[in-house]
Amino acid sequence: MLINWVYLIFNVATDISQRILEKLKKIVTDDSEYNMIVDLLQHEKRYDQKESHQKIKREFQLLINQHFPFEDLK
Amino acid sequence: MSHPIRIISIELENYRQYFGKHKIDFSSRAEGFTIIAGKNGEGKSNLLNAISWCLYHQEPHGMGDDSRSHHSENRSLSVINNRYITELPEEKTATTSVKIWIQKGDDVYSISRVLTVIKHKLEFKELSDGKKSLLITNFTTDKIPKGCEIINQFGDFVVKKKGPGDPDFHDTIKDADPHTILEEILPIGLSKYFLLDGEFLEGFWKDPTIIQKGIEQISQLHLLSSLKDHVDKMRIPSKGIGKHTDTLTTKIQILSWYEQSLDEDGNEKFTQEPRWKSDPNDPDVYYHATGKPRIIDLTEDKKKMEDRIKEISSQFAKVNVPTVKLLKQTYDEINQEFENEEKNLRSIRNAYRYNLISRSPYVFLKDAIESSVGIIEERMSLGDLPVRQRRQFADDLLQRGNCICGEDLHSQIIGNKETNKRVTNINNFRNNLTGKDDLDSAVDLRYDFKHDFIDKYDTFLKLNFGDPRIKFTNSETRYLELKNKLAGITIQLQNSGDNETETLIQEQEYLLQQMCDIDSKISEIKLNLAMKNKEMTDYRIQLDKELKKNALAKKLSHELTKWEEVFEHISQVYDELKNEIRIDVQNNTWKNFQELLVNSTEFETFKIESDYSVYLLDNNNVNKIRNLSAGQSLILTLAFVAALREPTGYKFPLVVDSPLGKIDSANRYNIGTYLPDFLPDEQLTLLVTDTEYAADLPPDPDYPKLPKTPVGKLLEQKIALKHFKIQKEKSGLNKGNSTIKPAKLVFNNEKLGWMVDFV
Repeated sequence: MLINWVYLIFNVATDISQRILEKLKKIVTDDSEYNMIVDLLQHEKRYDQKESHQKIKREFQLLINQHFPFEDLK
Repeated sequence: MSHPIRIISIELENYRQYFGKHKIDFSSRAEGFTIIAGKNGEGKSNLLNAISWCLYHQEPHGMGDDSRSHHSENRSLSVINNRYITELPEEKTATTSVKIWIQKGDDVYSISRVLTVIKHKLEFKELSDGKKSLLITNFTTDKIPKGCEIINQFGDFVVKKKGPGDPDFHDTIKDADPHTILEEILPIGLSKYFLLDGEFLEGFWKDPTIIQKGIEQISQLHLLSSLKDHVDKMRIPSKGIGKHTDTLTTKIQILSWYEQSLDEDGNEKFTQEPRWKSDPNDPDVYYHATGKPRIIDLTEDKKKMEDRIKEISSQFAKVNVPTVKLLKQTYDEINQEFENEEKNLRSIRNAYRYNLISRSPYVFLKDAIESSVGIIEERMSLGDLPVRQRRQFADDLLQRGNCICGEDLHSQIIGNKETNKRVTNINNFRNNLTGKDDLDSAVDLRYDFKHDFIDKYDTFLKLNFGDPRIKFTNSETRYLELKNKLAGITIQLQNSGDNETETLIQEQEYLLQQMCDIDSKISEIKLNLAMKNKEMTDYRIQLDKELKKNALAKKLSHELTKWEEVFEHISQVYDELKNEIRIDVQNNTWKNFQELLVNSTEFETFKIESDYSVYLLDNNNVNKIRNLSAGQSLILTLAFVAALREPTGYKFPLVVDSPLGKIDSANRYNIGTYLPDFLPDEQLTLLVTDTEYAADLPPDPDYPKLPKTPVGKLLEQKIALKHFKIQKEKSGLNKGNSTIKPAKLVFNNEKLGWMVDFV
């Protein structure tokens, strides 16, 4: 876990195919959503088939809080 | 992904038949090709194994299935060099290591694996000639001499990195697990596409999953696919908001578990039903219990069964009974026709069903449509429709300034107020039309319904139901005729009295029945999934409404909406890319194949279907993918592997073992001529025998004017070559061990011709 966070913080390059990024850019017009999907892909790249579902859910939850924080206007 | 990756060097120490240290510095593509020459059994495949062992702790190359081949020696060889371990005193530690330096973009990585053992008393067996042979123990992934004890069970695996500004290499363990770092450089899933050995290439087109994995892994489609699954799970909210929402969440969760074949803990759920296997000695694997994974299992098994049926078909051809051969030939011809008709029937049936579903409502609602058209026409005759015309009428009146009846319609504004009442009335009339423009679509609809449906009702019925039904019936009749013919020939084959034929037919019949059953099962699951999907969508809508009722729930609703959007977009990216990349790989493979293969005109086209089944059609439209010669198969594989890189820009090193061994002279000549222009910017290393590389091309009766220039010389005309030679010592202390040293292509004499020899 610690290793993964250090990995993320120091932004060790996690390459995502240029073609995927280009297609994403074309389809996803909202920049925040685009950045979140790229982050999700980078996380996904580090998971193997045995990765626990709980861990994935926890990390994805952090990402949505970071990219789309909830603000109740009322 | 676009950073070029190349192997700089490899250093082996006491690895298999390499006693002591051996180092090879590879050429970059700009410097040319690296050629490593050696006889069969002298250590070429183990050089591939050394790379696999260092990077992935695996040694899959050159193990062979045939115990009589030279590979059998390799299978009983310890990972630790025999001479080294035998000469080492007892109770001392021995180390075997492989170290590889890899460059990716501007970074250089040093990757090393070290196996350390303590030597106790070694055990030997006595051979029939009186000599002694070291006994080997299979210890997890490593084969070690019996009597040794491993100290570091999984080997010391270290990845070090040196960036452009770094004075020296530093250990990457503080950044991430070394295996994770390696996955960023050369993922294990791709290893079989850059470490190509002969055995893999020969079986390449027999296993459709290789094609699918190649395309999906290299283009990273597998990442999108698994991300889609994980995001799908995020679309189910946590419980604890309220009783009603919890109930809805549970319902969605249960449906989602069904869809993904999961149990309540999120683990994959399997049945007790074993999957079909072609080799009874393979271990049992079980079907997923439900949903999409079960469909994937069933589809994979169906493909394997189809492959087995094709194998049976070729086995029939080998049965040496003339009647059987003749019958089998007729069977093959009719079967080809049958398969085409089956495809045709499927597409006609789908079109017919589509029309039934999408056009039938028109027929049921004919009276209502006619009456609606009547109402719209009545409104039109009264001038109520279309709205755009009424607005135009009002605008014209105001612009003209007088009515057809002679009334004055000029604007008379006094103190910001319109005093001409008639103008005010027209303005009010015009304003009342606001928001009614949508009614004009009723006028357009009336036109479509009247001209395409009511006025041409008989044509509508004929085009949408009559003609497709006739087509469907004709195709079904033809399909059944062919099926009966095949059954008739099968009975004749069974009665031919040949036992081998009978067994093959029984197996074929069994498989055909199983495939039918699988089709029904898949249809049933798909139907179930569609129903459950509809149910799930309804629950999601209800849940969304409920969640908007309190603050915490609002947050959840906000997140669910986002996950929903993300899911939709990832799905769209995946679907579009999957199709585009498949077609790119297909077209590039075909283009490369035509360039590399002599006489490629015997083939008409190459196709990779959406289910990744592959077709190489000849001029008679017959799929030859399973009947290619070894050379054609290898050239098509090279064309495919090259094509895989083009759509992704992924430039990784390619190491090919014995690429030319089974290729005829004309194609060797072609490869020797074109290979230097192939895969520009990518590092290429060839492991070759002298016969395939340095010897004169043997005469080819089909191409009498073909030059006899060896492949090595053909390559040398276009690209710089760096040679190494592997040689096994035949005598002395180092007998049985191999050495690798720099070499060059030299002309020996008229009798021996060209050869790769030490510098």
